[in-house]
Amino acid sequence: MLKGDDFWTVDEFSSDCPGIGFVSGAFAGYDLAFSSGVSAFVKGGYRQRNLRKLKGRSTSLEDGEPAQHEMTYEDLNGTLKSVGFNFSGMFAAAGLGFSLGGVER
Amino acid sequence: MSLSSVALAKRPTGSAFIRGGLECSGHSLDDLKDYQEFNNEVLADLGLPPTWKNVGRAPGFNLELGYQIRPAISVGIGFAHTKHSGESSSAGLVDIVNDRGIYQETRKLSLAQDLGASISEITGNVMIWVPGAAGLFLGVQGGGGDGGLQGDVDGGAQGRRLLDSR
Repeated sequence: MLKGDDFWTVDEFSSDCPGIGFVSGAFAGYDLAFSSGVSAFVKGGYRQRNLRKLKGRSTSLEDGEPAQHEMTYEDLNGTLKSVGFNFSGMFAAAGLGFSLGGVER
Repeated sequence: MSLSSVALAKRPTGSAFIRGGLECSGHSLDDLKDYQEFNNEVLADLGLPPTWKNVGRAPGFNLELGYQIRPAISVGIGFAHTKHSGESSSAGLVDIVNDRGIYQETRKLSLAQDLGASISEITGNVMIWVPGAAGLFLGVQGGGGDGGLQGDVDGGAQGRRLLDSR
């Protein structure tokens, strides 16, 4: 249920919260040789990318100042100021590579 | 090139290598889940379906420059980038009341969200090539990442304010 004062007419609201953090991980895989110097690999593991240092945010209102956004808008977007993000989880990768010194088979 | 020519690789000591690949990451993004859960609580308070979703698994790419310093050990520098994204929307009919709680009217309220999280990383990698099992490697990595969260919200009860008096 909305109160009249909760009305807002802004068409678009953007936020951007940049940050840096520490990355660590462990992985395992296989490297397969297709020809001398050319190989393919598969690998997977766990990667922790902790961006707890994320802080602050910039916001923009695409259509100028909001006429009536008030509390609803802030409630919906106000928490970005205080949180960071933890990109921890599993990953899997496959790819091709070449060796400048050749690959023994 | 036939499959029979594929063999487990063994890099000579002193050789350098470059590898690039595609990856799929399933990061937990727990904090982002908390953020979306909070947003869904707000939607529910507004009388809208709490249908905003978290971002999902993401594809990415990686590049690694390495050097075989010993038969069983290589070191390298890795670069990787992934971007998670998700779009959500919610809409419904909402009763509008004044400050005294008296019903004024019913209007359609809609919200749409485009949420993205991206990160780029540079790491130092150390890989152990298992002796006696050419091609098999174990590795650890450490370094730094640069990323962020991007969000766009649009919609709302668009139009002029209807309730000016309390």
